[in-house]
Amino acid sequence: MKKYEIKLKYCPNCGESLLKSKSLLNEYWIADDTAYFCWCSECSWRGEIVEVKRVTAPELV
Amino acid sequence: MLSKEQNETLTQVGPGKPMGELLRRYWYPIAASSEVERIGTIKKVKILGEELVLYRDKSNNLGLVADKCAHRGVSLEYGIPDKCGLRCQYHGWLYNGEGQCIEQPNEPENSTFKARIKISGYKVEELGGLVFAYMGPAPAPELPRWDLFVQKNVIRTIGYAIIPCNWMQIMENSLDPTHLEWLHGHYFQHIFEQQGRPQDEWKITKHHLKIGFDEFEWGIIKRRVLEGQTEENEDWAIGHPIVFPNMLRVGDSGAHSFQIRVPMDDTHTFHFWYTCFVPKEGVVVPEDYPISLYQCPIKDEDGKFVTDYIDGQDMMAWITQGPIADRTTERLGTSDKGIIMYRQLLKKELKNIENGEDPKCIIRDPKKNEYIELPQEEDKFSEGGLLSGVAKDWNTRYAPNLEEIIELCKGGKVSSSV
Repeated sequence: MKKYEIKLKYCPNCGESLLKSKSLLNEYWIADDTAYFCWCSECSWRGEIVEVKRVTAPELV
Repeated sequence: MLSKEQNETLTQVGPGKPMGELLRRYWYPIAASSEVERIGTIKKVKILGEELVLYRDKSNNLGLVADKCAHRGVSLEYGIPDKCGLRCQYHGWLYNGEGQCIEQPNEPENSTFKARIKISGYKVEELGGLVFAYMGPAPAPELPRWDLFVQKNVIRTIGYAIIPCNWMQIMENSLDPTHLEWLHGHYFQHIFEQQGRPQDEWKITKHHLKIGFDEFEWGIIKRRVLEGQTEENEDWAIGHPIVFPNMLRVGDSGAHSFQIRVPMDDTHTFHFWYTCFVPKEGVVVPEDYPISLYQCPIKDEDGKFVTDYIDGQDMMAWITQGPIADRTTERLGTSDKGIIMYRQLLKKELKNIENGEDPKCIIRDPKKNEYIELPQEEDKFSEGGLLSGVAKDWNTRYAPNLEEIIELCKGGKVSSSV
């Protein structure tokens, strides 16, 4: 198992650390993408952030 | 995947820990009423990291106090229930239901020493054949009168087991709908094959097309659409709830049940399977029919998990994750979103108590607590009363009177020897 590496650190809404034990920073996977479910205990912002590895666009037919 | 610190916050249940403080805001079943119905009975329990003794005193009142006498640390499991409290068997110190020492027979008559001696003492109440305890700050909220605890004309059974793992991984199982088609579907077929039973009799292998989770007043409603179904089917349209923070409601038209997870400490959980069998229309079951109590086995005589019943399969999955699941190495996918949602809800309610507010599912208004009806699909997996139809493949197979219950629910007349 690889060592846990936290790529996210801060709430995009208020800038507070998402690594605080009372917040939730849950990494998971959506097919090829790494996603982060975030909930900030400071400002209650909830959202998901997906790491972009390749920029694609829908077929422009 | 979570950090080590965030995993610890979710899983540590002792006093002073954030999750321990949240969990102390709720009532927990700690025994079946039938275990302590006789005056003078004492039962040792461990709840939220505290060793306690439940007793029935000579005035027929239940009490719950710390296991250790303040004098010299003797276990009160061997104490003497008195007229109003529990007396230590070693030197006769008497504690009332609040844990206050009210007698020290060998101290001077006018001594004020006893007034300064107090051990933990907690409120207890009985409902639906269970004894519940409240270990949080005063005033205690209402003991929730969930429908199954007060419903009329049903036959109840109570199964239990002490599960050697943390409560969170048990709860997360209930936010994970797709394990059903595998652990209780394809794996069960594998077990059938090993046992030489016909495999085509099993109907819990339908593939999940869609799962959904909605927060509601009492927790999270879990929904699913299986192959061959649409959103019109009850599995999606109604679903069934996870009652915050520690119960699953599950069942069908023939049997409704709660799975209640009571954290004992960080690595043990007292688990109840509380089932209400619903008789067929027009059948009235005897009002004083006894509630049977039975233990659900985890392992067989060879030390292997008992995996030929649904709840045994669940226990195998919970326990083999380890005493506390290591969430720093997990690999969650999109089908695990319910688990993530539940983790977030716990954190949100932690914040509520920090702000001085009541968390979810705390009821203060007695009028609101007369009868709390919970949603639950009755046409399960488009198979009608599927789960009650396989009562012999559930924990209920260990109920000593299962055959009789089935007969009674069909309208048969049998006299119980339970």
